[in-house]
Amino acid sequence: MRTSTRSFVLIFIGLIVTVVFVACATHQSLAKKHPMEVQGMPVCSTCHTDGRAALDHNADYITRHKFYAAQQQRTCDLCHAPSFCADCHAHKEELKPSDKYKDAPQRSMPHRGDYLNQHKIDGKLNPASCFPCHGRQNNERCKTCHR
Amino acid sequence: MRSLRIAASLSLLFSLPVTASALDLSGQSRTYLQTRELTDGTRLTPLYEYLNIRTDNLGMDAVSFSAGGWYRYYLQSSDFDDKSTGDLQYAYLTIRKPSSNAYLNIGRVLVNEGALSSQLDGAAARTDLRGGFTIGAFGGSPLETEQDTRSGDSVYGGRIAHSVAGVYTIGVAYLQEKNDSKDFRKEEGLDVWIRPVSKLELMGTSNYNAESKNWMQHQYHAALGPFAWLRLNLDTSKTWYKEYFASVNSTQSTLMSAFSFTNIDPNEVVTMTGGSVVVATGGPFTFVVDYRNYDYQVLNGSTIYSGGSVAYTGKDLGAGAALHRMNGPTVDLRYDEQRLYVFKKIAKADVTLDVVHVAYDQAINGVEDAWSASAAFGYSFTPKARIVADAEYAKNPDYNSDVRGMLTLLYSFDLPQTKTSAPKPAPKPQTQKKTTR
Repeated sequence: MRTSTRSFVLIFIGLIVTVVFVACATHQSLAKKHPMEVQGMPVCSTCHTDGRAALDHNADYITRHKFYAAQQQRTCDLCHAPSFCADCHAHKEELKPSDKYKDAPQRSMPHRGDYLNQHKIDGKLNPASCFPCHGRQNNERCKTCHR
Repeated sequence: MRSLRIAASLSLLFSLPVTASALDLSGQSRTYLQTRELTDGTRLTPLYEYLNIRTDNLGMDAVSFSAGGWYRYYLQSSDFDDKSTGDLQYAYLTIRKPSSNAYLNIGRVLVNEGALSSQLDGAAARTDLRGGFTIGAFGGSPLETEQDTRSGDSVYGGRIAHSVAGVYTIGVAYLQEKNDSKDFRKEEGLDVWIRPVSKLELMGTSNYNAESKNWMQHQYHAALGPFAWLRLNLDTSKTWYKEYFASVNSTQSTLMSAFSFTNIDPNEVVTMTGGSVVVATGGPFTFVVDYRNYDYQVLNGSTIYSGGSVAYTGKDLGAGAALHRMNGPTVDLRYDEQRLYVFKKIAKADVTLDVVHVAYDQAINGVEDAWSASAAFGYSFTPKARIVADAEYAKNPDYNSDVRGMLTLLYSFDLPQTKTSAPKPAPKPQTQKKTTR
């Protein structure tokens, strides 16, 4: 076994052991699903007055959802299946997210309209914004033209 | 062969309720039939099937399984692409503990651990510890579509965070990824969420290249409000291209050419500052004014993207309009953009119209205006079964006339539909009890 693989296995097993046996908190876990049915865009502050009130899905929520997801993915999981995230954040995808939801124009979807030309502009503006989805692991489409 | 394996796997997963009727199974099937044309006039007709499922109570309440993926097949022969392909986007077994939010995911997982994320075949675990601490770890083989095989590829990492509920969460994370047994990514991350008062939130991430020992990127956001009808958002980010794109340029420059330093100036540092003002009157109208300034250190110029939008959300009618101006240091980064949409629900049917127009300051391929107009007609047979037909016309620098169409079938399922598994409907706001964490 290679040194890197061995070290990964050892570290991972060590952390798993920590997870299972050591120092776990005793409070009750979050429910698997939100205990009340939520219809439409959720307004969490209707019921919650603590930090969860910040999760109101209002018009500007899309601009900061990545920060919440980075820290509280399990809260997102209360209402959203992983496929909800994968519609936009997939490592391999052929259909533009906006093409899947032509009947939901109010939703903020990346690459709406003519994106073949627009991607050249966005790439010059800030290629770092393309990179998380298209750079490391899903570069096949890029390489069709960028050889 | 790979696509056949994916199709077989999805078929097997879909057959689970037949062979294991005691399970709670829910999910959604989405079928898309699209028709579109390539620039050389070749018309493509791909058929897509997206399927996601979740099964609970796999022997015990603490165990569940989730999977999702898609499969595509061209109904006509195609020299442009493979006849069929697909992707298993995620498929993992979850074991939960009833306390401490502890879980272990095993399989193909998407990991979000603070500032760092990865998709991998392996395992991810997290738990809350005593004293407000949370610890998470993950490891496995990273997903990629590159053709250099997955031999010698590995990724692992973890995060530790501390929280005071409703006040702050601060975490630090580490990720190391190897490609062909060589270091590919070695990153450290900081994630912050602070809510010092009820009307102010500060949040953001910082990423550090642990290989070159320099910052890659900072991204921070402040949300203020609401103050009566008003909310204010402030954003800032700074990205060092040399560090941010270092991984693909140090080991795979020939493979990752879209982001190679032959296309991107490695010395460039871009700083974005901006924000938005949101006016939500409590009625059906929402107004947004937004502004972003991108400042380039090497190019020695800046690009400003600014404008505004208004949205109307009624019971059965919705509409929106947006106007934006891009004003960059070079003429190819200067244009005006407008968008108008409207959707109307009539009983079980709904109609949507959406138009996007971009007017370039300087013609591209002899074209000064790009148009895209789409119309969609939807009909919901039941709350779980729906059909949508849409058509799109576009005229842009790449197409004199591009006509596309798509037929979408959606079907959600939830088996068995037990009374205990269905969440209770939310009571009206005035009767809901305030809760705290």
